[in-house]
Amino acid sequence: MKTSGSETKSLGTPKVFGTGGAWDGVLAPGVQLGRVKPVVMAGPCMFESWELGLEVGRAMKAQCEALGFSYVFKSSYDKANRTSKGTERGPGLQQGLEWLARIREELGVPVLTDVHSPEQAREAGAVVDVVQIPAFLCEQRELLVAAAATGKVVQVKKGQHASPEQVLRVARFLEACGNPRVILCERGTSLGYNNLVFDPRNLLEMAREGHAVCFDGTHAAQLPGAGQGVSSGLRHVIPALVRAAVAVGVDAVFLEVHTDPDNALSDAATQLPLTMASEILERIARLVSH
Amino acid sequence: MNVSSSCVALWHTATPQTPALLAVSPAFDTPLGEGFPAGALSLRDPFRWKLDTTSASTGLTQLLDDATKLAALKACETACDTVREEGNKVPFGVYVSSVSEVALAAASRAAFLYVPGEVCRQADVLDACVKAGLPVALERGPFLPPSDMVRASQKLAGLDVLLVDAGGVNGYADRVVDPRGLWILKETGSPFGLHLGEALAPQGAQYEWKPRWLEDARFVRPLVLTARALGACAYVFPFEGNAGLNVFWEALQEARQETVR
Repeated sequence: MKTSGSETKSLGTPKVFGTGGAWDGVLAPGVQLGRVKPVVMAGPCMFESWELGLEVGRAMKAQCEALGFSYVFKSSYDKANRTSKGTERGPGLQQGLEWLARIREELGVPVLTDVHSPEQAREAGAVVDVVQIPAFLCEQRELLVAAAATGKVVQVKKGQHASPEQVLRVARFLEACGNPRVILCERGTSLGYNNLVFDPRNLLEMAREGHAVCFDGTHAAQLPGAGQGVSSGLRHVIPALVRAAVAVGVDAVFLEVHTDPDNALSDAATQLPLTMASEILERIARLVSH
Repeated sequence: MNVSSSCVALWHTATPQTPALLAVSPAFDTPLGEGFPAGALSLRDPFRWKLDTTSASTGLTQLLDDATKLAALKACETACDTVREEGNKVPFGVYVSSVSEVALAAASRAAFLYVPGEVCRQADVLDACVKAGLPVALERGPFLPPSDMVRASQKLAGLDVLLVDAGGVNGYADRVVDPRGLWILKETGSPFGLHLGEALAPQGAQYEWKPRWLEDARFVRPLVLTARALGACAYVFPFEGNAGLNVFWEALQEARQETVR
C-alpha cells in the first residue's frame, strides 16, 4: 500500500471515531468505516418490493465484494415526507422491517433504514444495524433520543438548511444520550429554490471532532421539488460528486440504486441504474487504491 | 381555502390591518406578565421539540413521557392565566412535531397547533392535525420553495390554516425573506404571515464564520412593511414579558401604524 506523506494507512489499523475516540467504527462484524476503503451503503430509495430489494442487494453485494468494499443494504419502508399528498409512501413499517430482516439474513449484510418517529426508531432499532435520521428531522430532539436509545449506529443526514456545526451539535447530543456510534452524512445544502450544492468543506468540518462522515451522492444531486410535485435531479453529476467526496476523504458513501430508475416510485431522477452504480464503485476503487 | 364547518376557525378574521399576533414565549412556562400585547396569542414549546443552543434542550437527553408532557401543557395553561383580558384567558398554541404531541395538545386547552418548518411535510403529523380539527399555523420549511407550500397545505384540507413564512435558507445560519414567496403564499388564498424571530435569527442556527449582523431588530420594520403591503395578516415574534426582548413588538407597533402608500 502506498504511503501518503509520512503516514502509512493500513486496513488492519482501525481508526477511532467520535469525541475522545469513543467508537471503533464497526457497523457489524467485518464491516468497518474508514477512509482507506469507505463502506458502501446502497439500495433502492423505497423498498418497493421484495424482488427489487433482493436483486439490487445481491448485485451491490457482489460488486462490493469484487472490489474489496464492505457493503450495507439500505432502503426505506416509509417515505413519510413526500412533496405531494397521495404519492406512494412504501410498504409500511411492519412489512418493510420484515423484508429488511430477510435481506440481512439472506445476503448476510448489515442493513440501514430511516426512521421518522420515536416509535419507528424503537421498532426499527430491533431489526436494523444502522438507524438513519432524515435530513429535515436532523434536529428533532425526541427522535434523536429514541435513535440513540436503540444502541445501534445512528446516521444523521445533515439537513439541507443546516450548517456543519449544527450536525456536530447533533453528534454531541447523541453522545450525551449515551450513544457514540454516530455517522454524519452530507447530502447537499440548499442553493436557492429547487437546487442543492455539495460543499466539500462540510466533509472536513463534520469530521473535525473525530466523527465518521458519509457522503450521499444521489441526494446531493437532487433538484428538490423541481419536477412539478416531485423532486427532480441531475443523475449525470453523481459520479463526479462521489469521486470528489472520496478524494477529500469520507468513511462511507451512500447511493440509491434501482433496477429501473426511470420508473421508480420515488426519486426517479437520481436513483442509479445498476450499471452506473457499478461504474461509480469501480472508479472509487481505483481512487482509493492510489 | 375552505374551512370545514366541523373545524374550529381562528385565522379567517385576521387582516393586514388587524393581523393575528403570535407572541413566542422563551420557555413554555414563562408567565405572560402585564405587558403582554392586548389581543395577541401566546405560542409555546412545552415539548422542547428541537435542539438549539440552550442547555434546556441540549441537556434534555431523555424522552419526555406523556405525564411530563401533560404537565407541561398544564403549565402553559397556568402561564396564560396570569393575564386576563376582559375576563377571558389568553389563547395559546403549541409547537407540535409528532403525532402523539398533536393528540396531547388537542386534548389540552391549546387553541391552535404550530407545525414548525422542518416538520411541514411530515404526512403523519399533518394527518394528525386534520384529525384534531384545531386551527393550524403551518410554517414553511426554510429549504422548501414557496410554491411547495400549496402542496403542504393540501395535506390540511378542511382546517383553518395560517401559512407562516420564516424566511428561506440563505447560506449557513442565515435566512432571507423573499417578497416573491410571500406573494405566492397570498395566491394560495390562505391567510399568511411572517415569523419575524426566525427570519432574523433562526433558532438553533450555528455557524462560526457567519457575521452576526443579521440578528438586528432594525430589520423588523422593513420586513413588516413589506409583508403588510403584500397582504400578510399575521406575525410571529419573540416576546419576553415586560422586560427583555420586546424590540420586535415595538418595531411591529410602529410599522403597523405607518401608512402604506
